[in-house]
Amino acid sequence: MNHARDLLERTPDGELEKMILELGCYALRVRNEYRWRTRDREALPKGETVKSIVSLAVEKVLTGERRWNPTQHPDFMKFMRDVIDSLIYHLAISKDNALLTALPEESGQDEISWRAESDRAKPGAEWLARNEATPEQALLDEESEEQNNKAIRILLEECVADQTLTKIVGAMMGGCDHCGEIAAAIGIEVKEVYNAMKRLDRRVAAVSRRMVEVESSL
Amino acid sequence: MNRKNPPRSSEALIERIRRLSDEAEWSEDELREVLIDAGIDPDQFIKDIKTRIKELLKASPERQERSDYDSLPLLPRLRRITGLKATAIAEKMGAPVLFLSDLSAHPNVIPFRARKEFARRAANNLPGVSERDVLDSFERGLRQQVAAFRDAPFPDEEADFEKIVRRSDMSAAEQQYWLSLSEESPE
Repeated sequence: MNHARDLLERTPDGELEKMILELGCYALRVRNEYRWRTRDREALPKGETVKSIVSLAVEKVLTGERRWNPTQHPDFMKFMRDVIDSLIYHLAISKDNALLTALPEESGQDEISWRAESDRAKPGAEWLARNEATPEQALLDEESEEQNNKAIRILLEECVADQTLTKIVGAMMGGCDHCGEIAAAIGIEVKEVYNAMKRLDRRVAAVSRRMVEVESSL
Repeated sequence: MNRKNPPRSSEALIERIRRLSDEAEWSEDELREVLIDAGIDPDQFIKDIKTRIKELLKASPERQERSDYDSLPLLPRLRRITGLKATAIAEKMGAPVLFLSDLSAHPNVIPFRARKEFARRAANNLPGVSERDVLDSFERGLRQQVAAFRDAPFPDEEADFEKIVRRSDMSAAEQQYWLSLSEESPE
């Protein structure tokens, strides 16, 4: 039995449309992260787009290639987001990108979080890790660090007119990892933090675009 | 409060922002704006993905399989459920194959009480078969053109229940019993 098919067949049109928008925005965010990391103008390998990724995720689930088990994963949208993560992860490791050197995969771990330096990543699972730093690599690392600093500077510039965002970024860089912590650290309501996170998310997308533009103009 | 976990790079900061913004409740308008910012037309995006979903739901092999099953006439349906040949089904039902074949081919002429009786017998004697399976099949009201054990289609005849019973090779008593089911209920 394909539970995802049953669910989507029963989902009213309005809800289905919102689900589609949510998946599109999620894929966009994951793509932005990927672009942030790689400064890749194409953003996704193999000519894939946000739309094609969402379409592919839906296809895999509805054809049963990826089976949704509501008992194991009660949240269907969380399951779909995991499928999108997995698709982009596999695309990312398939790309011949000089910035990236994937660690050999451990069996059964091919769908671990692919994000470098994710605070939740398992030890040893960081796919940006390199075995040794050659002089060329050290130079690249230095450039990458500069790029990182530049990215954060641009992000702070984007937030300068919104004091709440500036404070939130400061709190996060200070180590706050949850909206409740951030709210307590800067003295605002948690609800305000969530609203601000949505604005911040859009600023990140803008910075990501600006970074790529700067790169390609050099 | 966790103050010992600063992000180790701008990438980790971005990942953290994404994770926390995912936790927020986004309105449909906000989601649309995010897509527009990225140069994606939200209406076209919805339309394209929805079309794809509809296509996949329509073409789903499981749905097709279900649809095929639903359109099966009685005898093929019983064969599918039990995995038995028609002769074995007939033997377990205590009825000739020809009778089963006729019931299967002409569901629209079978009186309601005869359908009920056949469904009851099938549920009692055939493994995995419920009365509903049989009644659903009758209710399709379809005329099976090719009987299970004939080389050629039934002639385009006006079948009626009495004719089906009379040509069935059942005993006289059995025939009488089945014909009595075509009479109006005394209620």
